[in-house]
Amino acid sequence: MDYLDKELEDQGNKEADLLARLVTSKRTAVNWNALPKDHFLLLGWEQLKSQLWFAEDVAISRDKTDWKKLSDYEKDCYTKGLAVLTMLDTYQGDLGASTIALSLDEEDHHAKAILNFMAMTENFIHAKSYSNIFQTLLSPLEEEALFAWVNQQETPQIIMNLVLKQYIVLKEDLTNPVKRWKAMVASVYLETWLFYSGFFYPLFHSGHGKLTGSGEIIHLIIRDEQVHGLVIGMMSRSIYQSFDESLQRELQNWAVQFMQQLYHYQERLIYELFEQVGLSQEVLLFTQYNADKALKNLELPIYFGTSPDRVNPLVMNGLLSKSKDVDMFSMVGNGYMHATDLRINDEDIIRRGGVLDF
Amino acid sequence: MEDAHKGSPWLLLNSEMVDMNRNIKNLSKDREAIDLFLQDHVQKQSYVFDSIKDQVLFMTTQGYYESGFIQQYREEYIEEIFTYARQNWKGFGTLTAAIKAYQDYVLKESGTGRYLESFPDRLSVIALYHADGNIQIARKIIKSLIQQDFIPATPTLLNTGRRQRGEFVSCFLLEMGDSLNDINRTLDFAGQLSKMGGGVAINFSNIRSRGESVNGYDGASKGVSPLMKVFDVLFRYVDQQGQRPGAGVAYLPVFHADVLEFLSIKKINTDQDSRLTTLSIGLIIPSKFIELFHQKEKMALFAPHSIYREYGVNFSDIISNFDLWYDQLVANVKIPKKWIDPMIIFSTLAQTWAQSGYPYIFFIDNANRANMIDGKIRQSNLCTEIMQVAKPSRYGFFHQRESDSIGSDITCTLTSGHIENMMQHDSISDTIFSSMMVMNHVNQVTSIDHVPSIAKGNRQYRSVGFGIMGLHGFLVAHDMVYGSSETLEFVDVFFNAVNYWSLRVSCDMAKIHGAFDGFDKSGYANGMYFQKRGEILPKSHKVKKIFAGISDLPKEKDWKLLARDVQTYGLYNAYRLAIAPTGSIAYVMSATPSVTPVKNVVEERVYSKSRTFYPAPHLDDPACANRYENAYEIKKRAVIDTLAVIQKHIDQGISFELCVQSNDFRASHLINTLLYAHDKGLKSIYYVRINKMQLEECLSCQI
Repeated sequence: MDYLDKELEDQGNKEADLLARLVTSKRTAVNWNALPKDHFLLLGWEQLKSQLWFAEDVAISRDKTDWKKLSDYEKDCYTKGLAVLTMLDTYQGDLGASTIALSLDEEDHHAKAILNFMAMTENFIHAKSYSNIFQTLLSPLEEEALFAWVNQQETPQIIMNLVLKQYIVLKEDLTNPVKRWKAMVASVYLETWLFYSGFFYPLFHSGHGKLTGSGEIIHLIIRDEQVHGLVIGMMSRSIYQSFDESLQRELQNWAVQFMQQLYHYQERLIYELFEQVGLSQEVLLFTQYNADKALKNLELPIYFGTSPDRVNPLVMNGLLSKSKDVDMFSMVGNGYMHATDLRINDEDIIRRGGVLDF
Repeated sequence: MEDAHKGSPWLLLNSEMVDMNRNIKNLSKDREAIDLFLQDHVQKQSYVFDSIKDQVLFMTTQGYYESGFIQQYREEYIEEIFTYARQNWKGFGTLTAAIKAYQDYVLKESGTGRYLESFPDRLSVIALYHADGNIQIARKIIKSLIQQDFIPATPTLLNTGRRQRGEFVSCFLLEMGDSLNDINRTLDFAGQLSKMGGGVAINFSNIRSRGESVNGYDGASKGVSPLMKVFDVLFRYVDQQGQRPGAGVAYLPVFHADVLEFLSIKKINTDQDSRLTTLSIGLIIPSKFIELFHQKEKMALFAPHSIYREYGVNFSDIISNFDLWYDQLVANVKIPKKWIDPMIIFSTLAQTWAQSGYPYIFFIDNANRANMIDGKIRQSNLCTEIMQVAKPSRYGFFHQRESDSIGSDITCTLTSGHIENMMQHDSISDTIFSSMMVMNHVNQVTSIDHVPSIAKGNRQYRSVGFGIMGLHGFLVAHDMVYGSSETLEFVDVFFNAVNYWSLRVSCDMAKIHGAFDGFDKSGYANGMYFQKRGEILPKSHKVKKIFAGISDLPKEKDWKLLARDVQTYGLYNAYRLAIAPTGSIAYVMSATPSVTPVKNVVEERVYSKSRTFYPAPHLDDPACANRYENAYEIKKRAVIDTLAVIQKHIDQGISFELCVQSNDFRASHLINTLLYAHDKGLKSIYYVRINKMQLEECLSCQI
């Protein structure tokens, strides 16, 4: 162990102790069978795996005719909304979910796996699908201008950084449970609330039967985000419950303040995008409704109290993720999956004379 | 209070009908939506005419209507039919129906998109056009149409009367030979039919498998998959003037050497080149396959070209006679074979069903066993309800095309009766009469000469397909369920009557216009068909009550007389009945689809131009609302038992979608269901559909 002795000499005892401990620690292999059958992580795994999709499964090109009929304002609102979502997705994948994964206890292998999968979903799948939409509907110049806008426009940048701050702070102090919890709050705010404001406009259009290809992609993304928000919310609860009452109260206040901060800029962004199409009020109500949903996922008291009845019903009913009854000849539908219980045992086959009980 | 919501007011109302879990919150919102849609949109968007006379004049002189059918009638007859229709039209049952009717079917002014007709006007045009100048018949047809006893299939509903139009039929089946000339000609015809908005079924049975020889070069053949790719690209390119994409299906027998490759082609994760996107696939299953499976024996897969070289017989002929051929082929050492365990086919089926809902299943021997027409049924169509005999063509080189041997291929015109209305109005015979008048006229005026094998088949057989929609709604209204003894009794009585009247109308038509070509060699001519036919009358108290007001249930003596008349005069149509999935037209009629259960009590319809929520009928009655179970929930056995009874009376087939809950999806269940369907005499299975559970239904138990 000559090289180690040299290290010890060079860097001093404290680090040497840590290093020595690390290279001789006992490691554990993950056992997925160790989870009880109805554990939420296992259910989450099943759900995420069964709904795995790729943007190439959806035919977006049929949106081209609808796109041509939109006004410049409508196009601007539509694409900017998706560009903001792309950025949120990018960092949720690059930094958000993965940092939370890193920060969990070493043996929390299942949760880490799921978080890493979610991270992959955001930047590998969701963000890619937005790019597919841009490629289909926009010219290269328009696309360039769009990315230039989101990469420097103040309001989305502030929102992004408010969220990222929680991840960066956690990254510098991974074992801190309060920071871990705050990062989870940021994640759920992002997954269940901030994303959804961006979904309003595509859902509004697909509710009118327009831009249904992009609409289908949004539905597939919503289907994922629902799981993400629920699962991360569940993860946050055990941490929160480990805090004493006064800390809980303090953190609750923090969560409200954080929400107010984000909402301030969210509102600004909504006006920036939606005044030109006359939908600002509608989107604000929708945003408030989703903010409360995020709080529910975190098992925190709701803040806005906006009843779902006040939200545009076309958009609300677009949130439903039941297998759409699709016209088989024009859409893929989101009812198909990759693999299920396909084993056939001979004793399961009902031979002639038997009774079919299915 | 904030401002009203943005968006189409009627779509908003329609959305308010349901809550976030898609349960009915307020059904009357849908009714309000219909009124708003008709007043706010349709009325404002409609062209205003001073009189019916002016309207018809405008439509003909401006080139919207053909003038021929108008000129067949006295002016007051035209007035009479249009007025009758407008005055007696009771309105739409759902917003979805109204939107579909106006968006998809009614004639619009080019450029502005203003409506030039009302929906009752559209129905008037259909009655006048297809009555071919006979005002008595026109009156009968318009009465049936206006009281929504039946509706013609989409191409007829859409195109009738229009000067610029597509064909009245959109359902085509082509036999394909194995030579390059045959293949190229089939591509030509498939493209032409696709251009017309047709759904085209292609029989790939004869195509030599991968590795067979081409022109003496062993191993040169690429098999069926690359050729399917060519058709897939063709259908995507040749669409109906950009309105509707092309659609096709390739059928292949399970005993074809390429079967496993064929089945894998629909898997989600195959590369882009292998994966088909527009071409569906259908698997032809002879009963021999089922037999070998039950006997736990291996099955032989065959190479079509090797069989043709040895016997001079097409593989599609072999497959339609497979019980006769299989042992012989197995025994013949000169015929190469690949042996596999039938279980592999079932495993692969389960996988492809899970991943894509395909393939369709065609039980060819069940179809041929019931077939009364001389010849063999070889494949089915895009919706798995058309089953008719066909004769393959043989095409030569372009410069020798006079010596082409044109066989007969299949086209079918369809209509569907609304069972609830037919029962309520006691109009079984009238409905069938009106429907068959429309369909027979469609056949007469349709001559797809540039696909000569189709024109020939149509002229020869004059096949039509009357079907039924609304069965589930009817059962719910009468507190009956699929598979119960009452339901089986009910459908037995009803469809026996439908069958009887379709024969009666066809026979009466033959008295005037002669029998179809080939009648003399049919099981109708020699009386074989009528041996098992006779009166089927209600027995139980409940079913008797249901039929209490019905006057045209055929008695034993009616059947005897019919049998005699048919043998004397013949039948006008070789095939008369087929139960299609009904798709769009069921929405226009606000009926449950076909004879199968609804997939969702409230459906969310997303199709190419709009998104609406569509409630099943009778939800305003809470007792009925509770009775609805959807197709995923109902036991498949109950549905199959019901369809099996109906199938006895239907000379063609029934489209049957197999709907499975995702948490119930097990390969063994699907296999057992397939085996059961086969043994009960069903002729086909259409899509396999999976219902994914809502996320919160599983995760929320944790919360």
